[in-house]
Order: sequence, then structure tokens, then C-alpha cells
Amino acid sequence: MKPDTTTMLRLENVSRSYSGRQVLQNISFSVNAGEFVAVVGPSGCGKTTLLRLLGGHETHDTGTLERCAHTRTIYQQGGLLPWKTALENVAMGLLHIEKSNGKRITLANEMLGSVGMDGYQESYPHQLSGGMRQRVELARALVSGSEILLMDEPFSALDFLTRLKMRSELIRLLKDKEQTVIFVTHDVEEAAQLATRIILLTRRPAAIACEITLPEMERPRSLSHPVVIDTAEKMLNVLGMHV
Amino acid sequence: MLPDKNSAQTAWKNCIPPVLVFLAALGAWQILMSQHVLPPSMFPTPRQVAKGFGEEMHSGRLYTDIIASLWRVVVGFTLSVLVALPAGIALGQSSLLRSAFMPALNFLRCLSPLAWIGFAILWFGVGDNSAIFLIFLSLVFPIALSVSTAVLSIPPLYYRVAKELGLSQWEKLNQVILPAIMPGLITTLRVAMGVGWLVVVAAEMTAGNSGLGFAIYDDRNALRQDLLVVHMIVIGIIGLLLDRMLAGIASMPSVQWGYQQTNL
Repeated sequence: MKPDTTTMLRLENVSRSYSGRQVLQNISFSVNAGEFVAVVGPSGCGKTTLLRLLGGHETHDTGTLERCAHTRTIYQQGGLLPWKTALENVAMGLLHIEKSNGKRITLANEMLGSVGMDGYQESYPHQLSGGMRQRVELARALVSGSEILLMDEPFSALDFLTRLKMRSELIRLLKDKEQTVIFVTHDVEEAAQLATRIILLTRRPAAIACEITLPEMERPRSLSHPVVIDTAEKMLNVLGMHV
Repeated sequence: MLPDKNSAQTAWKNCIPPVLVFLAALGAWQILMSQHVLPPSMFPTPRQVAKGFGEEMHSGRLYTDIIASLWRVVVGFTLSVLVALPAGIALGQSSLLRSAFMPALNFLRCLSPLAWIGFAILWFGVGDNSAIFLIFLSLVFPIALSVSTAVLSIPPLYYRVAKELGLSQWEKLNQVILPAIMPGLITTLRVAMGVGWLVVVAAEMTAGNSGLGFAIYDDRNALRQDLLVVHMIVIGIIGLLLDRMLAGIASMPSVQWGYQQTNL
């Protein structure tokens, strides 16, 4: 069965095991163009494995996985190449997209400017703060114009205030783009602030516990907004963590 | 201009402690000799060594010996890197190659290069080629092993990034694997250069007819302890300069990430 024109990703009964231990169990969902889907689950449940399957870095054992566009991933551990400057890292995102090296540099420069990294073009990743590195990584992912953005707990290593700032920045950068985002996180509030839809996974072997569609409104939603508070509470209840 | 002035001042400050240590060692040597703690028949005085140094410089022999030894080390070192680097990368990337070749590589790595001297003389005669062959043998296996280990320790994340960016095999080698192993490779090359410099002396003493090692052999036969010390000092200084040269590569910005916790 071919996915329809607006479906960017479709999984049907996807399972994955490592050495006989099942990690993902019958995962089925689809993601439409422009959706911001947060995948939430307890630590170690298999969220990163799911993201690797979606990115084509691993293969699933059973089920069907269809992908309608190229993906770009933003990694939890930081996927910038440490031997390249911020500008070179972003320009790498255009390597097989834009043939002219000069044009690649120009576009990478513009993208760095739009993520607020003007003046840091020649800095190496180890010379930047965690938040700055994530901005550069975001720039590399966005500069390619890739339609599907996979984000693996991208802000989890940042301090709370930087994390809040990065959430706003992310939504601002995605505003005028038809970008589809799969955002893996274990932070229920983060998911409720950013997502248009949330897929909640159970403990390992991960299966879908529930799906929550959030009302359309300005994002990122305020942490004190009733929608965020109610959604976070609902997720914690489903996960069996009453607060 | 202020940073340049500061860095010049820091460089000067860094030079002071080793110069003081050198002067103290020289002073201690002179005192030991003048107090007859070391009898003149057992060890030369600093003055004798200085005189011997002047003699060697004047005759021009020191220059030709330095050039002969440096040539052998540079050729042996370069050949071993040219062979070991691709071999190490291939070993690092293929578990099949590792299981096939690692036992042989470790076996050969454990053999002292000096054990090959007999064959070296038989195959290449006395001279440049024997010494180069011995240096090559002493370096190629440890460098290959070290490179393969460095390739194996590249985080899988970088391969995933390379795949996502659509890098070809050549681009992956050029833009990911080589830069990722570069900090470790520079350290390996520094150690290898030091070993090569040690081996050239031993090779020239046994299978050579020129060079600093042969000069030491000659000094020993002529009972010229002053020249023995002159050549020992020259060997040490050149070894130090070669190491500093390779350490200089480690200060390139594109490899600095690998030395964040290391004091070069």
C-alpha cells in the first residue's frame, strides 16, 4: 500500500529485536506533512531505536516502514564533526544538494545567521556552548531543505533556561517551512509545549500506549497553559507515574 | 598586537625552566669532574666535549653523519606510514581482515627489528638500504595496529552522520575517518619517529658505514669518550627537534578537539 501524498512516514506493525530481546513491538503510526510529532517514553524504552529505523540507519525485523522524503537527524550526543568549523559543518549539509562550493558557503552563512550564530562561523564545536552547538546542528539539518527532521532528545543536555529558549527558537525557525518533525523526548512538558501530536510509548518492549492530538494554537505553548499541564498529567498517568 | 606580545612573553617564560635545568646539569657535571667524583678516564669534562664538538664541526663529519641518519629515518618512517596507514584503516574497518591478519601483525610487532639485521645485510648489504629496511620493520606494524585501533574507536554516530549527508566511500574516508583518527595518529607518529631514531642508531652501529650510530661505534673503537658524548647530545637534540616538529602539527585548529584534556 502506497502512502497518500501528504503522508511522509508510515509504520505498520514494525518490530525490532536485539539478540532475541524485543525492543519495539508492533509499532504502527503515520505522520503527515507539516506535523510536529513528539515521541515520548521512559528512558531506555526504545525511542532512539525507533528514530534510527525512521532515519534508515537500522532495519526493522517485521512490519512495513515507508518514508516519502529524505531525513536529517539532530542527535542527542551532538552530531557535529569536531574537526570542522561551524560554517563547514553547515555547508556539509549541502554537499550533494548544491554543486557550487561558493553557493554552499553562502547558504550555510545565511542559515547560521538565521539561527543566531553570526560571528561564530570559524569556531569549532568544542569552542561553542551546548546551546550553540545545537543551533549549528539545527542549521545543518535545515539548510538541506530536507522535509523530515528527526530530533533525538536534542535539548536534553542543556540547562533548563537554554532548553526553554531553544524550544522557542525551534518553533520560530520552523514557522514558514512545511517541515515534518519527529521529536523524541522523555520530557512530557517539552512534548506538550512543542508538538501537534504526541505518541506515547510504553516501557520496553515499546508499544504505543496512546496518541494525543493537541489543539491548534501558538507554539511553543506556555508551560503554565492548561493544555500543557493537562497533557503532561495525562501522559504521566498513562505511564503510571502519578504526581 | 597585544596577544602577539603576550604569546611571545609566554614562550619566553616556557623556555626559562628547561634552560635552567640544562645549566644546572652542566654545572653539576663540571663540579663532579672537578671534584674527581667521576675520574677523567671514565668520563670527559664539559670542556673536552666542547672541544670535540668544535673538532667534528670543523672536519664536516658531523654534518654528513647527521644528514645520513636523518635521510634513513625520514625514508624508513615515510615508507612505513605509507604502508601502515591504508593497512590500518582497512583492518579497522573489516572484522574479516582483523581476524585474518591481527595474529600475524602482533607476531611481527613483537620481533625486535635488530633480529632482522642478518637478513638486512644479506639482502641489502651494509649501508642506507639495510638501515631503512630495519626502521621500516620497526615502525610499520605498531603504526598499523595503532591506526586500526583508532579507526575502531570512531564513534558510530559519525558514520550515521556521513550516511545521512550522502557521503561516498572516498568522501567518508577523506572527511570523516582520516580527520577522526588524526589526533591519535599524530601521537602515534611522534612515538614512531622516536623509535625510528633509536633504531637508526642501532642499525648504523651494526649494519652501517656512516651516520650518527656508526660515528658512536667509531668513537667507542677509538676510545674517544668526548666524541661519544658529542654524538649522544646531537642524537638527543635531533630527536627532540623531530618530536617538536610533529607536535607542531597537533596545534592545528582542526585537530585541537582531540587534545582538549592533553598537555602537549
